[in-house]
Amino acid sequence: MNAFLHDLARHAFLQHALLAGLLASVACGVVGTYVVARRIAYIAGAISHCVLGGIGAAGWLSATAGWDWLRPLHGAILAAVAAAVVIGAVSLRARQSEDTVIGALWAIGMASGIVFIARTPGYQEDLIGYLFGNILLVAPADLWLVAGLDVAVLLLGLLFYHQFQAVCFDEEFARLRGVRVETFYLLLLVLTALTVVLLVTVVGIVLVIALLVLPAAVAGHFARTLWQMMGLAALASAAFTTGGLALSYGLNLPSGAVIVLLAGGVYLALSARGLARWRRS
Amino acid sequence: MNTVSAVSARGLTFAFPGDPPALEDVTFTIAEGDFASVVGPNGGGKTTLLRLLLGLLKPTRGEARLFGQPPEVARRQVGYLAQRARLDPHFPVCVRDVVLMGRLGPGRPVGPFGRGDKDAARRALAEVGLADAARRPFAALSGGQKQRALIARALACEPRLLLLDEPTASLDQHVEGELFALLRELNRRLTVIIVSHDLGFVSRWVRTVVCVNRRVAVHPTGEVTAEIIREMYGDEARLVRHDRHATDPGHPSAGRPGGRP
Repeated sequence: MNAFLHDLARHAFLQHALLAGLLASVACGVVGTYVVARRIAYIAGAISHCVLGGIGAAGWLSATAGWDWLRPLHGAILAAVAAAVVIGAVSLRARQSEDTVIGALWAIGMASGIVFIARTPGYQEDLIGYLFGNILLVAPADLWLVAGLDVAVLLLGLLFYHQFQAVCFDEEFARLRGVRVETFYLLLLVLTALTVVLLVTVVGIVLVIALLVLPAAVAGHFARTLWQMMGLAALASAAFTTGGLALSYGLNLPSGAVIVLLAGGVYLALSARGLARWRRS
Repeated sequence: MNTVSAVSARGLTFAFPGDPPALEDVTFTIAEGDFASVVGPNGGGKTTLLRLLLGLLKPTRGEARLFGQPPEVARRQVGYLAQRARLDPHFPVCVRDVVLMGRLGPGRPVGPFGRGDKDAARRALAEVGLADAARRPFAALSGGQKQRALIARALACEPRLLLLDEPTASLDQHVEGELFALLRELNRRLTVIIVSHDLGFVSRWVRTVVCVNRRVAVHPTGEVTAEIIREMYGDEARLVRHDRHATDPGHPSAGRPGGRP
């Protein structure tokens, strides 16, 4: 831990990593709470795997078409939002096939990413980083984009708090009140997509669902309102990413995996305690 | 009572694709100011009728009207309470925020609620006797209190009509009676329509009974006879009459075990 703090003061890449983790945590607290309340974690999973397709396509275009300005993160944002819109449209129009479409997108996004990456000259070494996270890969230029996404997600997520809350709690009632339920559902999926991209930079595509859902689930043990749950989830997420980063740095382990294990351990411990209490009562 | 209709249907028919009609050629009117109960066997189309009246389903034929207007236009004047089973009982939300959901609508700006909305929520909570519970978690309320909170949410819409789908399901008898007393109080200024599976209990409180079993018949409570019940439910009718004793002629012989007094 001391080594981490010592190096943190000296190395810019560690500072960037920490900053990216903290920025992502804020959005994670707000959107993760909605995702848990509305029970759409599986949709977040499909969106995150589509991100690989976007990253792969962006890398391929930048290497072969000479689009140097195109960063993997740009591709990730486009793919995530596109996946969110497709899933949203399907789930609103034809609910019975929602399941199939989510499964299909999940795999197609992944597969197209692998094909793009295989076709991209001199690129393969980053694949593991994108899949399982390498927070140390965050470039300074990405940090501005991450900060921008963070602000956008927070602004939209909090401005429409009451509408989102009503849609999550009782969609039919909200519809009868004249709330545009479909619009807010789609907006929620887009916010989920943007948050997924933020979290991919921290823990990677495969582990994103864990970091999106676990802090909110931990917060749910203590919170009495969505506001409290969001605040607690953001704090929990910040603690998990910072603690996991420090631990992984000290133990020389992959950061994304350690962050998720830390979050999962705390969640399971709280659930076990809750179960024990419930048994006793 | 005035003669404006709160709810009306003309030739209303609805079928889910590939199924026989759930409701067929339904025509009836409920006057404004009435206290009516929609009764009928499970699967007889009670909830379907409600959803048609609210415009949540589109009729195959015929039309439904709220206050003489199409449901999509007039449904903001309805305070609606759906069947309770649909809500997540552990959702992290305080009682006041649940009630404030009744203040949402198309014209509402973003951000926090204003004073007018908060006052309306406070009045609604006071009216259902939950003024002190505004800050409590919704999840911590008892079953009866949860229903009161959801009725307060419906009242916060400042409705002309309360439409409640099985509001007393899974509540104990004492709490059920209290809830009906509250509804009768609200009926002084609002039209109230509730769906119930339990005609026997409901007939003590309501003025009009809407019998739904694919077709719909409306009777003043006093006119509900054993013949009508049998026609609607078939021979399996089980109900407890309150206004007659088993020795009276015409009493349906089947009394429900543990039937309500």
